[in-house]
Amino acid sequence: MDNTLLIQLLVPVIILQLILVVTALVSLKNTAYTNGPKWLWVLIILFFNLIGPIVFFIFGKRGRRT
Amino acid sequence: MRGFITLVKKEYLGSIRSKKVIWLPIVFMLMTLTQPLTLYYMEDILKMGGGLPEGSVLQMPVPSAEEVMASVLSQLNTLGVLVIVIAVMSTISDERKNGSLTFILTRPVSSLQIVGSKTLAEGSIVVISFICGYLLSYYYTVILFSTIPIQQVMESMLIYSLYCLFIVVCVIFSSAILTSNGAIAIVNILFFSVLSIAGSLFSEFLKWSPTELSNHAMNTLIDESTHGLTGSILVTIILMILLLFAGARAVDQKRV
Repeated sequence: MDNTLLIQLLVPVIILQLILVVTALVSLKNTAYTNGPKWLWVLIILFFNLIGPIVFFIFGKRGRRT
Repeated sequence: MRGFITLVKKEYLGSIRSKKVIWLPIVFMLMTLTQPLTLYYMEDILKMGGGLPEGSVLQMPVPSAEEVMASVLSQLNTLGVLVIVIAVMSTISDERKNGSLTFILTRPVSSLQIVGSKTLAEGSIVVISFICGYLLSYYYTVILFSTIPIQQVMESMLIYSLYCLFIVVCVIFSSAILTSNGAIAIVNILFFSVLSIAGSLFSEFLKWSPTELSNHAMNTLIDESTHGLTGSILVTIILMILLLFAGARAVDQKRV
């Protein structure tokens, strides 16, 4: 396996993943009321690849979105 | 007309607040990116994953670039539909729950303008997300496999964009008639899976159904057969207009 090629290919994936996770975490920090404890959401966002942030954006916030 | 533009602006503002403008394109890009990558490294992944007996010889046929792009679309058929449904499902039902829909309806705007503005805003975000992801996977396919004529890619992209738009219109319509978000999601996912299974079973009878658009998009990539394509596009556009008006009626009737 050509390792440099693999790294070049994976860099965009990692960057996209990072943007997603950071956006979710910042949004979590700015949300006053969440469904369930905040520390649990931090774990979900960090450890469930791709699905964690989506689940947070849709079901995480309480109030504006019921 | 001014009311309509204000409503569209309000929809975009809502999407920016809920960060939908950021996460939807990224999710689409990540979903489409993984397909060319896993196909290219399939042999290594199988070796690393184990489960192969010692000394077994693996002969993987290298898929053509067209097949890779078609497999990107077929992945979107399952995961992409799910993401679109979840992202769009709460547009009308949530506003009805927290009372802002009743407030907007006291203003001099028609229900058709409300449904239309939501469709325009959500539809444009979804279609742009899809295009971002598709073009990125095209870039990866060209690097890893071989080039495809850009015209074929554009054609399949346009056809699939129409299909994405149809999903958005369907979800917004069901958001207008149903109240629970869970029900909206389940109804739409069942509807699209049943329709696409039925389309593959009775392909002659349902050759103009909207879900056939995704098959047409794959076919334009692989063998350029356009049998029944025009019919599908016409039926989809007519259905979309009907659903828009029906959704507006539902908003009017369910005014609480």
